Amino acid sequence: MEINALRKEFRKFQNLHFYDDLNSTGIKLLPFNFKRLNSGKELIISMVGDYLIAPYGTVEDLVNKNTSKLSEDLYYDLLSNHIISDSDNIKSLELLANRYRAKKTNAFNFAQLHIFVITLRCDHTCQYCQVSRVSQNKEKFDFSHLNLYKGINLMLASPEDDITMEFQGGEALLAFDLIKDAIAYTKEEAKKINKRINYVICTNLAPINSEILEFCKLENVLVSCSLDGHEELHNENRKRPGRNSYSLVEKGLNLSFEIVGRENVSALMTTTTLSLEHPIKIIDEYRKFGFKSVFLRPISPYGFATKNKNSNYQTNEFIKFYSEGLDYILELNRNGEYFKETYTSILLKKILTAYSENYVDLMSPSGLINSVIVYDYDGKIFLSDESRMLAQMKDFTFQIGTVNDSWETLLANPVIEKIGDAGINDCLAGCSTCAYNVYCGADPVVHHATQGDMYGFRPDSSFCQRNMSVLDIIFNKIDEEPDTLEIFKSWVNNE
Amino acid sequence: MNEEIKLSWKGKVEKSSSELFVGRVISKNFKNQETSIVVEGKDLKTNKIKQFYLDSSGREEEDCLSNIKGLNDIEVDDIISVRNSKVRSVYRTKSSNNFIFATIRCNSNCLMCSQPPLDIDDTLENYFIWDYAIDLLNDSPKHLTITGGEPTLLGERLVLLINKILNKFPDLLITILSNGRMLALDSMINTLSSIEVRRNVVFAIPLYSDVYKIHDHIVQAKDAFHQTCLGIHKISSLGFPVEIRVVLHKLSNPRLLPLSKFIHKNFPFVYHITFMGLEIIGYTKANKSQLIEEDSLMAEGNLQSSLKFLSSWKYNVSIYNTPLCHIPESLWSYAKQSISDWKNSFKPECEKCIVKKDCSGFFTWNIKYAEVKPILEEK
Ligand code: SF4
Ligand code: SF4
Repeated sequence: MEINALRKEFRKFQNLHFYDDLNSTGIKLLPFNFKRLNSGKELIISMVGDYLIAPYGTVEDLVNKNTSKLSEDLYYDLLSNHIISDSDNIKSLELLANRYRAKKTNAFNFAQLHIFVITLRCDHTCQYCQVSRVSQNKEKFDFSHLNLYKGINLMLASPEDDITMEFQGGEALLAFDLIKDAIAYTKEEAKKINKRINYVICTNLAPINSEILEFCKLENVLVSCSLDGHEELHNENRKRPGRNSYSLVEKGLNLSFEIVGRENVSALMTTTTLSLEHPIKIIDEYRKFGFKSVFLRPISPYGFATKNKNSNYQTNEFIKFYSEGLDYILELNRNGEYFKETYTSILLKKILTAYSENYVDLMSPSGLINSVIVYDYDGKIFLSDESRMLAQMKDFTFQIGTVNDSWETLLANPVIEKIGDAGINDCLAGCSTCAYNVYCGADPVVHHATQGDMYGFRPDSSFCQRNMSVLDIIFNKIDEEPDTLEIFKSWVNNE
Repeated sequence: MNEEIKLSWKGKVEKSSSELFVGRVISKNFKNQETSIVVEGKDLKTNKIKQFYLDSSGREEEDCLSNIKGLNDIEVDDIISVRNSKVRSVYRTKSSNNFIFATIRCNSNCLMCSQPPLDIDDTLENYFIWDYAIDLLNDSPKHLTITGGEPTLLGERLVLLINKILNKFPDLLITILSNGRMLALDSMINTLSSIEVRRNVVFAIPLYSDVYKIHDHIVQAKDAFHQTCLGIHKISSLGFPVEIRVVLHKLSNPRLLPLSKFIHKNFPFVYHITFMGLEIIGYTKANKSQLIEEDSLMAEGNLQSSLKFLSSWKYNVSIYNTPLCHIPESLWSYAKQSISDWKNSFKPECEKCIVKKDCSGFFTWNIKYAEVKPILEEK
């Protein structure tokens, strides 16, 4: 771009027309996608995620370059939202490149979340889980110290400086001593190379006690627990001898609040067939414990889960559940109670701001490698938690090696190139022309598991159906309920 | 009612040999209705340290300017420059609104420019003046504004001045009033990247519309919009805080809300957004019919919804240069007393107004166009 540093013709002012870039060839379309909303209006979304809700017929007018039909304000809105350009050379190109980069920052990162399946042992026999069948055989189902330290070395040798190390199970706390050793080792090694590590323990809370919690407090370990809903539902989903999972959670949560503080405790739910009828009760359960959010999470459609009757529901049933839940939550907010739904909030951040959110299921390029990595109890390394579940069904597609390998070897695994191809929705059939692709993600693992093809086939992909429906719900609300938009904003602002 | 404070004077040259002199006022005497001032400093051409005299009387002497009116506004310890018969105030020790006047040149030509640019190359002279003035400063100013014209036209020299003053006063806050266009150039960004301490140097950059041609028309420069937008990205990625300034007038008012949304989407990193009242001076006088808003209800509504939008996204937003009685009470908390002391005035009616102590008042030059509605009692 040339900049005329000094103009001589001072004091002779030009009119607006003089600055108009439009020539006889008419407007230029920048890359955008679109969709019709329930109201008949058209949702137009630019390549960097700026959206515009325009009157019926706008896109047709744009395609036909019938700009005389557009109102001046709409025309200006289209320019300002990077949907059209007046000039032949796109003068905002570099700005758009910066914006695009900001939306795709995760593409430049390496995994920040390192999950260690510290043990496969569990005291529960949950409906949707298969690992829980494992006995109490420590030798066989716990990380060995040797493998653990090798895994930690790999984690610390990866490029990110801020890393979250998450301990999962089975029931992670059955191997609490191992967790202690892992944290002690990590702390010492991380200090030498100036990396910051956050720790999270995922637990069903049954084994929790004040000794464990005091340790968590001392080492700033976050506690993430499973809470599926009210007592009856929770106990039905999360079976354990004595049918007392819920009361253990209740006790464990209160003790955790007391010792490590509310801000360091979170809860996650999994939706089963039994949950589908009770969105409101589930949400109320979260409120009862003083949580300010709930993550209405569908079950992963693979692994042991797919074989269980209580895990086998259709996406449209889940969407009905989600939608009822969301309406209830919005009503709570209208009545002055701040409470948010997490999945919606992740999408809203992408919709309403220039930034993105690193949530592995909603990333393109997909979050595999650049967001998460999983170390299994036996030293195997997987691209995601779901990849590990597939391996339990003897599908090792997404195992990239073991803790004995170097990153050079691990990343040279051919599957990485494949997920690179299949993990970018801008160039996936169906997604590339979908209005929502800037906000949505690509999930090669889920498509491989459900459709036998990492690229996937959108028309009957449950992943697509769910995201499309959720985004439809969100945008129709933005279009039709101005007060909902204000609530949505408050979720993104976290207040 | 304050009078405008003088910042430049003209006198009669007697036998001055200085082409460019910069110094600090060391004494000021008032005798027989006449003011005489002694300045100690340096002749920048010869590098000679000497004293220079400014006098309101007809005093005839070597190194003296005589017959100067309005010398009262010069105070002991102020820094002034003298070039031929012209005296300029460079730094006013008692003021909190000091500025480095970088150049009178500009690469834009805004319809409402308060200080219309001239095509004169004064960059070297201004650089020399401030280069020495920094040596003369005893105490750190709290805040310093670098203005023009377009300060970035100083190029390398701007960086030298900034590094020099920040070296001497590391806690000083500097605001650079730049149109941001040059910042789109990698060469300029390269130059500015040698500013060592960046977090205290704010670039205050005006953006008047979210539509390229409206902005270009307002600043009377083709492609200015795209250059400024890119410049905002580039300067921010160097680590300089950015403030966006929007002057409110008939051409910017209609798209104030879309502009706010545009800022939120494209410049979410800005640390401050200010909406500023129009100064009726300079070019504005010639372009009044294009600039003065008639539909004040629309303008008020748009300002209100823009502020609401931006503050709902947690931006730090302010209204500058706008008296309280010109905006709805709901916006008073955003209004800042922003007009520099030397150009700030109130109307006689303001004396009875109960919010005067919080009010920005008017630019001295706006006062004759101004209407006020004094607030008489607590609502
Ligand atoms: S998965 Fe479906 S909703 Fe998501 S981008 Fe692809 S087509 Fe759109
Ligand atoms: S009357 Fe004067 S002091 Fe009162 S708000 Fe108006 S301008 Fe300010």
